[in-house]
Amino acid sequence: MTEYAGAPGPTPHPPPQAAPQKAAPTPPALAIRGLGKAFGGRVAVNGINLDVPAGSFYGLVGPNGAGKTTTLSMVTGLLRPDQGQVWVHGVDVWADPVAAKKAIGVLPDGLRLFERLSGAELLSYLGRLRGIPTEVVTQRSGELLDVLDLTGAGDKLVADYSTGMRKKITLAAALLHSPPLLLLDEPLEAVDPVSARIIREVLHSYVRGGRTVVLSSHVMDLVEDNCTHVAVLNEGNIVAAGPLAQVRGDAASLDDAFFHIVGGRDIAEGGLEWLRSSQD
Amino acid sequence: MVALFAGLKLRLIRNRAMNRGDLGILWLILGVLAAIVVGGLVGLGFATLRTAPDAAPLGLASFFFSLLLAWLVMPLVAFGVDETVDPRRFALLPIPLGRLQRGLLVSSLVGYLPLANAIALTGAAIGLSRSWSLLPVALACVLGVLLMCVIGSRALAASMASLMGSRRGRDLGMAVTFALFVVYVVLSGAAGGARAGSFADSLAGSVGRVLGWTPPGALAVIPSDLDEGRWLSAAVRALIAVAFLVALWVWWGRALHKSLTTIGSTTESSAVAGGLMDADAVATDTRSTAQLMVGRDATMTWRDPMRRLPLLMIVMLAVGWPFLVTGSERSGYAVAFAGAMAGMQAATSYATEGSGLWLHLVAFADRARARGELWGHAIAAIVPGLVISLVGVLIQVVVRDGWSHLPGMLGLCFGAVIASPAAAAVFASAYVPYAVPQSRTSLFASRVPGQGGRAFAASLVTMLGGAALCIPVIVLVVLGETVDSMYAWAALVLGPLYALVLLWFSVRFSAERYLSRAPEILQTVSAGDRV
Repeated sequence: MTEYAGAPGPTPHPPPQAAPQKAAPTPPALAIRGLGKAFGGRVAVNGINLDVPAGSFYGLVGPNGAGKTTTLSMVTGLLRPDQGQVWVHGVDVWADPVAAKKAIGVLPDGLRLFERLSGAELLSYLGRLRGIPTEVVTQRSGELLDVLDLTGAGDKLVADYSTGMRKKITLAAALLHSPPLLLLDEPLEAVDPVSARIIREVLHSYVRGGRTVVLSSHVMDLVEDNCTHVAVLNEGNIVAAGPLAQVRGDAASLDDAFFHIVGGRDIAEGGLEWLRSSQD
Repeated sequence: MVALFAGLKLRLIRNRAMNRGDLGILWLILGVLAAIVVGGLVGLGFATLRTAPDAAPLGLASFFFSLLLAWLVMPLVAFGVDETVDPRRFALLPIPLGRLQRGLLVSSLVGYLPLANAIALTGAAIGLSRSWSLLPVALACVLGVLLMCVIGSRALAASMASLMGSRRGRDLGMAVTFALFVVYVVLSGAAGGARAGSFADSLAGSVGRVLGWTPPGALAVIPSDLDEGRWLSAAVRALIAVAFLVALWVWWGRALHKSLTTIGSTTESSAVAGGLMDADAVATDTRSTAQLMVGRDATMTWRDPMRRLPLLMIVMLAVGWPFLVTGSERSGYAVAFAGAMAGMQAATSYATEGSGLWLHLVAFADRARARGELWGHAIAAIVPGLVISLVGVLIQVVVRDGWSHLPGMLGLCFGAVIASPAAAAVFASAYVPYAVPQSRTSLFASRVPGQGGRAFAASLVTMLGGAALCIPVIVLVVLGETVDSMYAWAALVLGPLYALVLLWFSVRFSAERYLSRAPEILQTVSAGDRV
C-alpha cells in the first residue's frame, strides 16, 4: 500500500484539524483535507490540504506532472481518491455527490464531449439532464452562446469545433446550472487570444458576482494577471498557498517566485554551446 | 535512409506488439507465423495451377486485379492503423521528396500483409511458369504486381491524407467498410447459390481475358505469351504494366508533395441537419431521463457512422442472412440472431461515450437518473431491434410460407432474443465495462489495446448470459413446434413480459453499480480515446 507523507515542505498555512461544518458561518468554497492518490506506487497527490475562500479567483499552478489534473479530478468526482476528503461549500463531494454536483461546474482538460451533437444541442441536453426546465435552458444557453461568441457555431457539430471553441462550449456547459464554484483544468491551454480574452472576461464577471473560480495552469502570467489567490503544487505536494501577493513575496514576479519555490535551475554557463554555432 | 525507414516500420510493429501487454511478443510471433501459413497455403494453391497451364494465366489475371483493388481500398478501411501510411507525419522532417518516397516504399513492404502477399505471389509465379526457364520472368511479373499494390495503395492514401484526417473522411472509411461487408455477404450468397456450368465457366474465361489486358492482369499473361511465342502481345502487356507503375509512382510523388505542403481540409463549416430528438424531455425522474436519453441516442446514432453502421449490419443479418442459412419454412427463426445482435448494442452503454461519460458524471449522481440513463440506452437498442426483427420475420414468413410458425418466431425474437440479451448487456456495461475506440475509421477496429481480455469477458457475459436468460422462451418455442402451438402463442405473449422483468432487475442492479463505481468506469472507458 502506498504511504502518504502528508504535506511536507514549506506548507504556508496550518492544515485545519477539523472538517469544515456546513453550519459554519462562511465555509470555504472548497476545502481539501489529506487528499491523496497514487498510480501503481507512484504518488501523484500526496495528502494535500487546501482552503479556497468563497469569492476568490484561485490559481493552482505547478510544473507538468505536479498533480494539478489529478487533484481537480478528485475534487470534481471524476477520480476516486485513495485518501482524504473534499468539501464544496460544506458539502462532502464523495459522501453527498448529489448535492455536490449541483454546486460545481467543471471544465476538465483533454476529455471528449458528445461529438455528434451541435453546441446548442449539447447545452440543451446537459441542461435538461440536470433537470432545468426547457425554457430556462433555452434562454441561458442562448445567452451563453452569445457571450462566448459561439452563436454562429451553435448549430455545428462539436466534432468540428476548434480547441478554443471546445473550451468555450465546455465552459458554457459548466456555467449552465449557475453553480457557486467553477473548477477549470487548463481552461486557456491552446486557446487562441480572442477566445482566451472572452473566457477571462466571463470568469471575472462570474467572480464579481460573488462566485468562486479555481483554475489550474502552468502559465504564470495568466495566474498573476487574473487570480487573487494561488497554490503551488510540486511533485504532489502543495508547497505554497495563499493570497497572490503573499505567495509572490519579494520576488519580481510570480514566475520568479514559482521558479524559486519549485527549485528550478538556470541553464549552466557553457551549456548547450552547440546551439550558438551554425554547424550541424 | 531506406534502411532507416525499414527500421522505423519494424520498430512500430514491435512497439505495437509490446503495447498489447505481456503476451504482445507472442502475438507478434503468431502474427508472423499466420502470415507465413496463410500466404504459404494460398501460394501452394497457386503453384498447383502449373498443372493447368491453360487456366492459370486467366485465373491469376483475375486474382491480380482483385488484389490490386483490395490494396486500393485498404487506406479507406485502415487509415490510421499504420503510422507510416500518413505522409503528414513526415512533413516537418527535411527529407527530399524522392528519398522520402523510396523510404516509404520500403517501409510499406515491411509487415504481415506484404509478407503474406509476397509468399502467395511467389506461389503464383511458380503456377505461371510452364517451364522453369520462365520462372525468373514470372517472378519479375509478380514483383511488379506487389509494387503496383503497394504504390497504388500509398498513392491513394497520400491523396486522401487530408480527407481521412477529418471527420468526414473517417465517416467515409466506415461507409466503405460497410459497403465491403455488404458486397462480401452478397457474393457469398451468390457463390453458395451458383451452380457450376458451362455458362459460368465461359463467363469467367471472358472476364479473365479482359482483365488480362489490365496492368495487373497483363503481368499474369506475359509468361504464357512468351512460352507460346506471342512476342508482340507480351511486349504490349509489359508496356501497359510498366506505364501503369510509372504513372502510379508519379501520382504518389505529386500526392506526397501536396499533402506535405498544404493545409488539411476542415469540416468546421458543415451544418447540422435537424435537431435533437425529444427536445422537450427534462430529466426529473427515471422515465423522463430515459426519454431524454433515447432522444439523444437516436440523434447520435443517426449522425455517427460508428453507431449507425452496426444497426445497418443488423438489418442485413435480419433480412439477408436467414436466406443463406436455411431454405425451410422455419427460416424466420434465424432472424433471432439479428435480434440478439440488436439487444447486444446495449452492451456498451457507457463505453460508447468514451471519456465523454464525464459529462454525465458531473451532471447527476442520483438513483432515478442513473436508472433512466440505462433504460434509455436499452430502449434505444431494443426498439430498432423489435422493428428490424418484425420486418425480417415477416419477409421470411411471406417468402417461405411459414405463417404457422409466426407466433413462435416473433415470441423468440421479441421476448427473449432482444430484451434478454439487452438485460445481460446492460448488466455487462456496468459490471464488466470496457473501452470502445473513439474516432475509429474501421468497423473492425473494435478493441482497445490492453483491454482484449476485458472485452472478451464482457462479450462472454453478454452472449452466454443472454442465451441463458432466453432458455425459458426457447423451451416454450420448442414446445410450440413439437407439442402444441399454444406454447408458441404463450412465448409470444409471455416472452416480452418475462424479458422486461429481467431488464427491470438488470437496470436496478446495474444502476447501483454505476453509482458506486462511476469514476472507475470512466477511467476504463476513457482508454478508447487514446486509440
